[in-house]
Amino acid sequence: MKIIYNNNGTLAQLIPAPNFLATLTGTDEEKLIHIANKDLPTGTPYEITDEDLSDRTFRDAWEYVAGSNEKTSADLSAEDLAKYNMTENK
Amino acid sequence: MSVKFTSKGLADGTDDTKELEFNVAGVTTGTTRTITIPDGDTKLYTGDGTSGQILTSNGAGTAPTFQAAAAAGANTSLSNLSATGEQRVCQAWVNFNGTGTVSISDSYNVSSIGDSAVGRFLVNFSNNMSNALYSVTAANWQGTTSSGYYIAAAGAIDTGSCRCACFWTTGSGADVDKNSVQVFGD
Repeated sequence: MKIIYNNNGTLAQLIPAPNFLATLTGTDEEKLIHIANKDLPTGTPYEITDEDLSDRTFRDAWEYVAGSNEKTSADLSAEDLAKYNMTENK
Repeated sequence: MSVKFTSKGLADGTDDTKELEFNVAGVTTGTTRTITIPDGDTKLYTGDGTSGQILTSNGAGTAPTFQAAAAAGANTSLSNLSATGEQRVCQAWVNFNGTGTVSISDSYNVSSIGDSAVGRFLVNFSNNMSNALYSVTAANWQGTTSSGYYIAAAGAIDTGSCRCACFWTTGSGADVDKNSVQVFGD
């Protein structure tokens, strides 16, 4: 699974690092939500998908279209900020 | 130098007030404990130290002593580094495949990479850098089917992420299968 999000009108994807995923707890979806909250600017619409994005022939033409499972990245909690050594949210 | 046996153990050969006592009170009844001497000169350390301290060599001919460990987070296995010496070690690195299904092969202190366009990637750190004045280097290569030359570009964005890119020498973006990024700084 991966995270896709709207990057100024185009589609961008966020690929989690396996080493980092291994440090998180919860279900696969919970882990990806965690990463979305951490690595996407707060308020960014995104979706968690296992869609095949391997054909990059027209990569620069990809567009993000909101789906039914769209979520919005949130601020990390104070506890998470401390955990990730972050002084503020993106 | 000479010693003589006393009722307690050993004493200096010329000054009886200098004594070495063997205390075996803690040994279980009916049990023999053995001190094995190595085939070489040795010195015993003094005291038990305090919690968290490490036993440190003081060089040839001098007994080791307990000393404070390096600051939390420092890698004490790198003996030449002081707490501030962490600047000299890589703070984050990642090796990823930017073709097909983009994937991270291995990494350190990287939580994810963002793929925003052909040859353009964002590297997000697990733990933020202290400031955005760090140094980033990147390198790219396309496996066995390389058909041209690539230019790697990278730079700091903020404390939480840096950007890297791969271009053809013509200036257009290029997806390649071997991308590596290293970050040094605070």
